[in-house]
Amino acid sequence: MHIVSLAVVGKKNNPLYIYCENPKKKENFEYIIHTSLDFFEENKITNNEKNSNEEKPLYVGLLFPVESYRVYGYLTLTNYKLICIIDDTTSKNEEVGFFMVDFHKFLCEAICNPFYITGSPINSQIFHKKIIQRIKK
Amino acid sequence: MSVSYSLLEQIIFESVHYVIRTVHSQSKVLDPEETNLRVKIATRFNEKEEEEEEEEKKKKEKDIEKDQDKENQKEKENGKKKKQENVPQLEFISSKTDIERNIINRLEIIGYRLGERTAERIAKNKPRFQEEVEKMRFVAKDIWTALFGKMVKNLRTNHQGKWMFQDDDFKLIRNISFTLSEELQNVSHQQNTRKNQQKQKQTNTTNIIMTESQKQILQSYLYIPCGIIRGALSAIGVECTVTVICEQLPDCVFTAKIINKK
Repeated sequence: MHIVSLAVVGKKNNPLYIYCENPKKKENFEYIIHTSLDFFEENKITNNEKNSNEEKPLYVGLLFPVESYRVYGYLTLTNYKLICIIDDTTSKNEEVGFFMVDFHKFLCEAICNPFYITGSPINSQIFHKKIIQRIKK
Repeated sequence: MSVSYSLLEQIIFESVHYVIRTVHSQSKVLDPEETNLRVKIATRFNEKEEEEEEEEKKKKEKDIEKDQDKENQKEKENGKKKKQENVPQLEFISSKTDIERNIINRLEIIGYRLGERTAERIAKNKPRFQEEVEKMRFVAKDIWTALFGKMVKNLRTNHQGKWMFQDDDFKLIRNISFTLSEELQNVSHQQNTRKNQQKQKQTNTTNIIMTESQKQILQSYLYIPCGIIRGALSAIGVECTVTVICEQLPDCVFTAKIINKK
């Protein structure tokens, strides 16, 4: 599972944290993340019967002629959106699901920092390190 | 218990944070008048002393009723001037100064951030909320058990955006006591009524009836839980204002009024 980019988007659809493996392509990933927000809204409206913490695969298809990505989303009860862009066609939903649960756990710990102001970008270095460690597994 | 320890930790961190903030922001030294005011707020127990202080402050007539009327007028004026969403509207208010409002605001914000963070932690494995009722139940059951070890006793609504959480034995104010003379006053007043005797026989808790001034002081302990409720609800997505009424000592009713944004 090759994760290319991660993002945390807050309640008012403001980006709180963006991680890109390749910093040169950061703008492209930001665009993809922005488009994926629409899918979260659609999901809210259409699906009234849901189980907890949802994830859905988003096929972006051949955005780039060279590579194709898959975008996975995860919506917490407190309206934080976790977005994960994967560059691998062999990855399974379950694997990504496990990763999202860990991601949510790290986010929780970062938010519980008493010096963190809700709605502001997450600049915690520990959060960043934990994510990088988790990605390498 | 690991959860109660983390609550304490958070409270400590919050208070430290605010101390640091105030030290940096308020570079000026407090006036002696302000310090006297704070001392007066903290040591107001006797009604007579209160009246004297109010008279001194206002420099007006000595009738109690007239003072209260003027207090109410001042309340309204102050309420109109300062409409802050963070400051809850309270039931028993005497003339509040800027400093008092500032303190109330800060206490409420401490509770607000506590509520947000506990909601975040607890809402990890819960199913999604379909209706407003479920969100209120989440606060009443899950957050209350996590923070105070028991659920809210009674959750009511008036179906028009008002929700009331009634806790029979609220943990944070359960062990508050008064001076000996006051307790005797309270107890003698209490023993006269039959209803209270019956109540005491039914429940094991002894509910203490308080005087007005005691209730006002008790309010200062109830701003943090108001904030907790407001924070937890806003984390889930319900904007509201929270007030609290406490007639007898461990028995509180928190009312949350939902703000409808159209």
